[in-house]
Amino acid sequence: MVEIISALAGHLKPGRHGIERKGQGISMREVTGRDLVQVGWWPGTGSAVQATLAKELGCAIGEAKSRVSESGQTTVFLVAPDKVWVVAPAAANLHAKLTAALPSAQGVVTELGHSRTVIRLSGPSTRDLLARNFAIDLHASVFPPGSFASSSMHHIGAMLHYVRDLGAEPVFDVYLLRTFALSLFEGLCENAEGFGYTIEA
Amino acid sequence: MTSRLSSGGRIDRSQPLTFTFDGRGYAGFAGDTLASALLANGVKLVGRSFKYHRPRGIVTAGVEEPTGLVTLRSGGRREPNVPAPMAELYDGLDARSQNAWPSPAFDLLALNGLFKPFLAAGFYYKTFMGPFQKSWMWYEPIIRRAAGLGVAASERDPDRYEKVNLFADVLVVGGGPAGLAAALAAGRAGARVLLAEQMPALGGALLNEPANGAADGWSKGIVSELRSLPNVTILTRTTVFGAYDGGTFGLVERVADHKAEPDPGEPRQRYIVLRARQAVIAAGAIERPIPFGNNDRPGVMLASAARAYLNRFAVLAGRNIVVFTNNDSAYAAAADFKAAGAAVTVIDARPALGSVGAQALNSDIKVIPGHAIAETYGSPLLQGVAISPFDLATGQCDNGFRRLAADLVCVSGGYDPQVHLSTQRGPKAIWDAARACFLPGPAPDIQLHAGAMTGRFATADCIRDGYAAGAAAAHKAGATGKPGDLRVPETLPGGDAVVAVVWDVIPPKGLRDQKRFIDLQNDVSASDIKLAHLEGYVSVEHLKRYTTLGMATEQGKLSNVIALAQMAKLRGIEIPQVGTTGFRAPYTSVSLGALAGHETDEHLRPVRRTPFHRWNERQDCVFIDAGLWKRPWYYPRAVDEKKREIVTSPNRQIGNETVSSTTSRPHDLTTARFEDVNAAYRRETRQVRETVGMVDVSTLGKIDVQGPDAAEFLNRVYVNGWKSLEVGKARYGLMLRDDGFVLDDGTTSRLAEHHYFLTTTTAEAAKVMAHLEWLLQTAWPDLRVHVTSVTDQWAGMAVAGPNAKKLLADAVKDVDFSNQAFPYMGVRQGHMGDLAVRVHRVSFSGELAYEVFCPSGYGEALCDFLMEFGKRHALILYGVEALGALRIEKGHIAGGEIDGRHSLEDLRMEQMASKLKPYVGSVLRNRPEMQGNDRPRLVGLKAKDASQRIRPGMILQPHNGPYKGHGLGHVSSTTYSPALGHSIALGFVIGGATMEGRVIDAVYPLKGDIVVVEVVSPHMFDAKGERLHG
Repeated sequence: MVEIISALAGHLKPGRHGIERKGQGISMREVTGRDLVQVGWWPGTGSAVQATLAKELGCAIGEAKSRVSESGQTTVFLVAPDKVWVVAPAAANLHAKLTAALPSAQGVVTELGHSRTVIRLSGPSTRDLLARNFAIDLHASVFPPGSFASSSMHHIGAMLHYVRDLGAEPVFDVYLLRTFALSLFEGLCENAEGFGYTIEA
Repeated sequence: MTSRLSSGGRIDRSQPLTFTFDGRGYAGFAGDTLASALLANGVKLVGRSFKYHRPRGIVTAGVEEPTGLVTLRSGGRREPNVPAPMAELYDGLDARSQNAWPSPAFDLLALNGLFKPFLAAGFYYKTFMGPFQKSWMWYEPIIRRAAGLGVAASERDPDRYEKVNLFADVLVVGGGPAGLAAALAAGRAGARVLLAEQMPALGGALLNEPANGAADGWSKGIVSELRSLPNVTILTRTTVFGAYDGGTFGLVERVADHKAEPDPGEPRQRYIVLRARQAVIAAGAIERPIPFGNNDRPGVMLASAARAYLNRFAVLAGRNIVVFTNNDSAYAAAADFKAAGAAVTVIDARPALGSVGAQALNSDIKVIPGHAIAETYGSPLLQGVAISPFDLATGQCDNGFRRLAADLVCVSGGYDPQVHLSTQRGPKAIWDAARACFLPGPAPDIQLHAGAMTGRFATADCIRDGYAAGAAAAHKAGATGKPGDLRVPETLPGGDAVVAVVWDVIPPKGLRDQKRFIDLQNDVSASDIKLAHLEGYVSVEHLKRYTTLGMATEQGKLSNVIALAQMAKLRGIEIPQVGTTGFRAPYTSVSLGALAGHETDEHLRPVRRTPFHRWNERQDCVFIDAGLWKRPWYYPRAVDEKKREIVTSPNRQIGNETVSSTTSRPHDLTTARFEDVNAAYRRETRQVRETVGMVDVSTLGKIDVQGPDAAEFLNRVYVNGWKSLEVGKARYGLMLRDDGFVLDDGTTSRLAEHHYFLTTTTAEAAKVMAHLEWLLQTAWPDLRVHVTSVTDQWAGMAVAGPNAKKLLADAVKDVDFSNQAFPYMGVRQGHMGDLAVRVHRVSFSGELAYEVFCPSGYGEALCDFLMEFGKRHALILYGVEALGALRIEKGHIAGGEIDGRHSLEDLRMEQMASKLKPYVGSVLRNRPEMQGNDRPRLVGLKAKDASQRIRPGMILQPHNGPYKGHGLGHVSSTTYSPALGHSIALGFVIGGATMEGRVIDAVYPLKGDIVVVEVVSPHMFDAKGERLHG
């Protein structure tokens, strides 16, 4: 079986980095083993596509904008009025399943799983680090768990997803374009040095 | 002699510090600024002035400091032009004076002062413009060396800087009484508040009051409550320097400027982009000086500053103090000086004593009403003043004067509200005749104004005003809490807005007309304003530029209003009629390091790597920057691995790159030598034509086009037809902009009935994507089509050369590669082992070629497969330099030709355009100007002398001249063609194909190069295109 090689391969150095400080500033790890497809629809076919998604994924698109819908390990992001991104474990075989279920008269499916590198950030200083990279108000009253935003990081498009709180600490996923991923990851690490950070294997 | 008092102030006497100024050691305390510590050590002369090199001292206690500018630190951390009152003292601080050599006390360029009658405004412009046309260019460096401020460091700054985005419901600018009250009201109401104060401590003007008094009691209570509110963030050492659209503010936090070095991981400064729903601007007011003769002598200071040095730092800057005022506020300073043990005389320009003056008299302070300081004397430091009866109405001293000994003159000419953040948003400041100052205009967008900034100078008024503004801002921002009431003690300092304006003090007969400086930093005096007026300057904007008033760090903070008033008087009009200048950001200087943040060096811009990057590194690839991409440039081989011989080839320039004759592998520091780019790309080019090569084409823009109307969409976007393209086939397409010029080209493949894979050039990928999205969202929202960038999703490798088919047939066993089954422009899906790939039979090199795509994460596996199967077919790797040579030989257009300035006709592609359908650009491409034969059109160019090289950008001129202007056209792409043994090029020549066979000159005036070239067909190699069919 051909192995997927990460854009960060050789550059994820597990262990502690940056300043020494009490407690954990930030933890980083790459999220792998998940697939991403985009589903788009046409004027008038949105309901049918959403019904198909609900049937195939068990996950309906929520009402709230900028909030994900989740079911099990499947997450749906309404990224445009007529498009969603669906993220699920690779084993879910999203592209084949949804392409088969959606006639193009209703909507279309585009593979994007290899186009993004996902970095998971957690720890008490996560918001501080993200504030150095995203012009997004991450205060919990504005950006609660489940929120996501398409934005930019160092002028390059990126998506930010507030996954959940783990204890009292937030967990965020940053979706980076694969070809920029290493450069932006290095920038994240440089900005994280002042907080102290750990790269998880 | 020390000026430090044994008690009082807000310094920490338990923490003594040492520092140096111009190499000499001094002592201070924690809590000092450099200015207070220098004054405490009796150092009053701290630098020389900009133009005349006159001795200068500390004038203020804040950001407005015009003359006490110093250079801090050394090496890469050197920072010039720092106002000494803003430099917090730390142990080991190394400060130096500026614009003085060898020292401020003995400055050789002080000789300039002898020529001051000649050095008036405009002197340089008038004097150094001749005798020749470019004389100024010759004089300028000399003048700049003699006149100026500090010198920036040329070494690398070792410290970190960072940028951060913050958000707030309510931004409060200023931590004085109004700002503190505003923050408290908004915080109590439940709003998210960010309070920014530029000084290290909160309190603003209250810090100038005696320590531990009523003012301290009030502010400590408020600050304590603010710090207890979780929704309030307080940033000290933070200046709000700019107000921008949409509630955006620029802030700079001086995180570690008060330390010798930042702590580990800590930035020196932090640039904050703050987005606020509402903002309360409580920026306060700055005391205004009064111009009088030699008012720049060290020892002349603003009254509020001298009071600040006394009450904040326990520094009594003089023992025999003369206070010169036109308002009541300076009497508080006089009283404090007296209480500290100084002899104090108040010279009040107003003819009659008010109640405050009378009270001073009762405190043994000598008060002389109806007088003005006509001039100071002493050299270089202040020794005394000449005072004279003064007529407020005319600004003229009456005849007669007398001298008073003094070691400190404290001046108070009223206060100027700091309206910068308001005027930055547009509203012009409004002249308030009663208060004799400019007030902010109507509060713009999300701003509310409070405190002294609005002309309220009594502390209690400021607090009440700030509290109301904070509550209102919180409400507007959506906070629902009620802030409740705030008790304002009656014991807080008062304040009176009434001043008797004094814009100038014209000396009495018997005294020489000394320089009366308005802008002390830039050596602009009243006589300069007068001269400018005499020479016809009426606009305040022109006045500023002619006289240099308000330039550099001063920015008019102390000088603007006085200059305006003097100009108004000279013109015989009122101040509002003269107009006022708006203030641009930044309010105070912002270091470039803070603005850059961490975006330096390798993070200056993001780097884009193809999915093959790591694999290419392992192949000893030399990369070249192409936009943000790192593209494989060439793959050098050791010239002779066994002998380690160095084989040289002439240094050449390829594109913009100067290439040495040999190149060392970056990771191989042995003595092995490798081909240079010229040797490498020629070898690569030759071998692609002879066997087979593969090149990374992942940088091509790749766009997924899907939907029932996709064919119709492509038919409208491209100039050629698309409805007949079969599934499993690709087609070359050209698209135009609306204006008919060529936007981009590429191949698009039909993968399924409603599914296309569109490729763009590397350079235009983002532009084409935006173009397509714009068309779908605005022009054709009825089309059921989605376009999605999949550039990052797919890795692409082109395999080109006579052996390409055999190689791929070996590697992709489930695809029939025969010409019948897989013809030119066919697209097939197959597998290399268990790796699913898509193979497109397209060619940019003119060779039998394929582009092989797979999901990016499998890119390295794709390479490994191809390399493994390529061994038996003499596969090599080639880079973009060889790719360029191959395509130029073939006359295939790329970025040099598709540069946004050419039509289809220019590119000789007009036959591609369909006459049966409209398409984007189809109307405007038919403009007569686009069709004329006088437009340069694509041709090939071949150097007549094979040893000569054609440079990119050469201008094409008639052979042997005459050379005129833009000539016949230009060279767009060049290379050496191994196949032809010549330097060849593509270019554009008026006449196009009709010029083929003609000889013209390619000239490069910058280098003096002239290359005789023959105009040939752009298809210089395999013109019939037989090779790509195998």
